[in-house]
Amino acid sequence: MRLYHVPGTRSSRVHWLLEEIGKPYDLTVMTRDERHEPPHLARHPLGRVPVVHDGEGYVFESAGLCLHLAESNPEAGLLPAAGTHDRALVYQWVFYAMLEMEPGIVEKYIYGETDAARTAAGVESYRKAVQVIEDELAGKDYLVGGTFSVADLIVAGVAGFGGFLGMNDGFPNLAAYLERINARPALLRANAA
Amino acid sequence: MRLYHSVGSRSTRVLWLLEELGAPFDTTVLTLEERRGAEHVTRHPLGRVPVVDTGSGLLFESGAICLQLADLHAQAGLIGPLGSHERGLAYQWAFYNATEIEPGVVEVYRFRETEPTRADAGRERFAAAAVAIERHLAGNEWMVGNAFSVADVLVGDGMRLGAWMELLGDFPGIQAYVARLQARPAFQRATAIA
Repeated sequence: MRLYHVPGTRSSRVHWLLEEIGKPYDLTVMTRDERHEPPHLARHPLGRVPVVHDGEGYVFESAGLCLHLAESNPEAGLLPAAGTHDRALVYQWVFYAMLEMEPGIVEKYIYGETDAARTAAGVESYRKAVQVIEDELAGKDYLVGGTFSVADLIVAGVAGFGGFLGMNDGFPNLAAYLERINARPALLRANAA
Repeated sequence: MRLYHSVGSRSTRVLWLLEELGAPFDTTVLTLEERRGAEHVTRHPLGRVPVVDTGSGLLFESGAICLQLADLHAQAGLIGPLGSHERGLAYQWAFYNATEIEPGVVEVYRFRETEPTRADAGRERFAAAAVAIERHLAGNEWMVGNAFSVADVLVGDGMRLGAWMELLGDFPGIQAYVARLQARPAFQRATAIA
């Protein structure tokens, strides 16, 4: 198991997940430029991170990798059993975070200084999507099944990026949730590495 | 199992997968107005389709629904065994389609008449992502392994949207792949309903 990682990118999610699993793994830390050089283009056609070699071959897409690695290490308890409704809800929130929440953040990140209309539309779409999470978290510590799962790792990771760009005002449930999750030892270990 | 469906939306891929699985299901077809109505907002807070009621509860996000249906019908063999590399690739292509392929198509769809520059950026984004699929299909008939799988429903439907926006001109391998998928009886049954 080897993770190809650039600090401060989506590969940090997978790095965090590997710390949650708590088994040994190999880490190749790359620069942003190295992503676009031939050795890495052989691993990912668009030169992105994360990429993982899982022992059999390369796999990419951060959210897909988190599901794959959590499933390959069931004793870590990060993913409900396949076929249960809780498992389906983990799939749901992972796609939701990637498709409803993250694009608005990326719009603000890219166009925050140059395109006010595009930034405003991105912020609006993100906050509409996050309101759903805010409501979902009422009376709950975690999104699915009363315990930390891959759904929380992805949703909190994306929402944390939104918070970094100042997009989370007025969501008290989300704030408490992020505080809880940001205190996880595995996340602190990944960030310190 | 009940699918809340709108014609010409991402719920078509769920309908297609249900037809592939051959399992009984009910369909409720919603108009755009009904999707935004109070009743559907209790099923999806943003008023989107697809939503399914699996019998165990409500579920949204087309990619999530397709993965869950493949899990619930594991004997159909449309997703790899738990923890396998093949299954990792199913997840990979499910998210690659959702986050690399479809956003470019959606940009073209939304802005092709009002903001040509933005639509062109969408075309470029799609093409950059599609190159990897074209290259994969040069040596493979399907996205994962040697057989049709849930990854083909997701990538295939993303590419079908790309064809609809006339984005496949430089990608003969993808054109042939989409044609192969559209010839499947289950696909034809699904789009006849739609």
